Amino acid sequence: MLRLLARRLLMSVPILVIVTFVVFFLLEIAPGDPARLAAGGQAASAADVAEARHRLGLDEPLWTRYWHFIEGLFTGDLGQSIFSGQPVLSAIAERAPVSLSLMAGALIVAMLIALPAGIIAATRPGGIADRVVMLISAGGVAMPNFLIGLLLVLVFALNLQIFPATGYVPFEQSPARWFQSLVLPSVALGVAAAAEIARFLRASMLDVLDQDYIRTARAKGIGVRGVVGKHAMKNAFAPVLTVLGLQVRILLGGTVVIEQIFNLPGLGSLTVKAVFDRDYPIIQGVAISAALVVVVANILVDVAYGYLNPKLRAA
Amino acid sequence: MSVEPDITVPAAPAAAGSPPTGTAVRVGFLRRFRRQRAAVAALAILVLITLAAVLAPWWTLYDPAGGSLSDALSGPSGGHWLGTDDLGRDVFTRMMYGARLSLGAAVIAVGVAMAIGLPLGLIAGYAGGLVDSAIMRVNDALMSFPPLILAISIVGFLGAGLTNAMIAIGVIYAPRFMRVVRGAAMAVREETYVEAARMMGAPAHRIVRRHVLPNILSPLLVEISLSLGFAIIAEASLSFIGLGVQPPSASLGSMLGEAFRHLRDAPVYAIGPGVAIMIIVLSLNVLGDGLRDSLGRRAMR
Repeated sequence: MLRLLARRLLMSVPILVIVTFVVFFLLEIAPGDPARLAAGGQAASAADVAEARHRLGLDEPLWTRYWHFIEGLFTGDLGQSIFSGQPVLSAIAERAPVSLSLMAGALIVAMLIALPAGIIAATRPGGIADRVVMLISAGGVAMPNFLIGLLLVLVFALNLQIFPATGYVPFEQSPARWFQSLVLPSVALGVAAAAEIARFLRASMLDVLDQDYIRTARAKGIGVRGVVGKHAMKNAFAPVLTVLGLQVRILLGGTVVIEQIFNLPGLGSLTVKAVFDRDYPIIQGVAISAALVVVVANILVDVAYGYLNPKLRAA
Repeated sequence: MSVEPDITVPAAPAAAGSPPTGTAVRVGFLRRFRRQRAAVAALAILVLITLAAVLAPWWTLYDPAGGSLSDALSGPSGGHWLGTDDLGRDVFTRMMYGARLSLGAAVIAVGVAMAIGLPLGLIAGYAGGLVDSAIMRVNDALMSFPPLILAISIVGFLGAGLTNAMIAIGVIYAPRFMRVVRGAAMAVREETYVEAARMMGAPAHRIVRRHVLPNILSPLLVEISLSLGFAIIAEASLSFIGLGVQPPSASLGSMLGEAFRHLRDAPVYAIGPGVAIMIIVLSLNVLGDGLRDSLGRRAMR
């Protein structure tokens, strides 16, 4: 297990190096001269621009600047917001809990729907329940999350007024209202993931239920529930883990849109505001943190995979 | 609706023994595809929607950009099937133009993704070794970004707008093409007939063009179909938050963004573009699944 973890950590190093380079390189594709921008725009004198270029280190070669960028990352210095002057790291740390709660909520919603739906569909393939699950999940995959969010706001916030339409209440302030403010966004974000996971769980559960050891267990008189819960689930869940890992990427991206709809002060709304403000360091910081979350999630998935399937530990 | 024949219906046996020329593979593929009723229906719906959207200037009754404020936010009626928006413009007409823009943007974005992914995937898969490892590490890195966040970052640096959004979406889906093409190219490389061609001294570029490319067409087609669906959603997401298409033009996504701002006064406004996105993406997914199920066993990996 430890060897697997070590190997995966080692494999992530080149990926992270390229990730940081991609994010660093984004600055190169931006139109306009960042030095002029920092010096105060069109009105700045040539001397001011040259001074800003030197101060920002923009007169150094690409690789030197990349090296400084990496150095900054290791010391936790992601630069400052051009707009507010706030260090990027603290801006991200401030907003991250909102986005992470939203993602966790969405994953919980997704699993709460997908586990029963996938299992019910797989135990009676071709039956009515199976058809309904497959039909709804096909629709769920095709529905953009903001459309679901829009419908939820319309029905549960504007018409039934059960949940707040927008806004966020920090957990420390009121756990109950924190929960309330996250219900609709989590559902909006989690439905598509639920559909995807349910489809995968059904397919992999069908494969497993067809195996000899399951037939043996059934023949020995163990009920469907026992077989699914005790024997099939562990094996059927391994492929689902891969999907779960992929979903982390999708969900993290989805928070951007969902936070806009529900007006949540998370990383997504920070990013969108930064894009409109051309606040490059913030965008870079968010992109790197997001990739880091995905890389860590992938490592966790692989380790969990190794736990579920001992054959992979040695490989 | 049956979208799961991959498990219940065994795939038709690949023509074992016969030489796997490009034509033979394609004929079997078409025959199997015709049997996928859901996928054929999805294809028909897509053709219909595409025609309606592309030909919108010639058959819709209103000007998509003009309207009178006195008609603003009127509900559905005989004259305006889906009502009017906040500026009195006919929603149905705008929806047709919006679908036109969304479809066009998705096609271009997938084109960008293919232009990047196809050659790199071919090189990685056919060359193997160090070249393959290097390309794949870059691929892994790109795939470590949440797609939408990378797209927003690219748009953030290039500037908001439809063109930049299409480039960004192309970049985020390029790794998918790279992976599919690489896998297919690696499988074909090991085939006896490719080995034979290599033994006879055929240059690499001819082997790739004559033997590898025709054989990866089918998996490529599947990927195109599925990616178009993703690209539509990605463009809609970017335009929904205002980073994609800029007014007065509208795509289905930016129309939903407008609808969201008027959700309290005119909830019907969201129905048209919302349903349109769903039908298009669902059809593309069903089509993609159908295409995948029509692939013979040997073409699958």
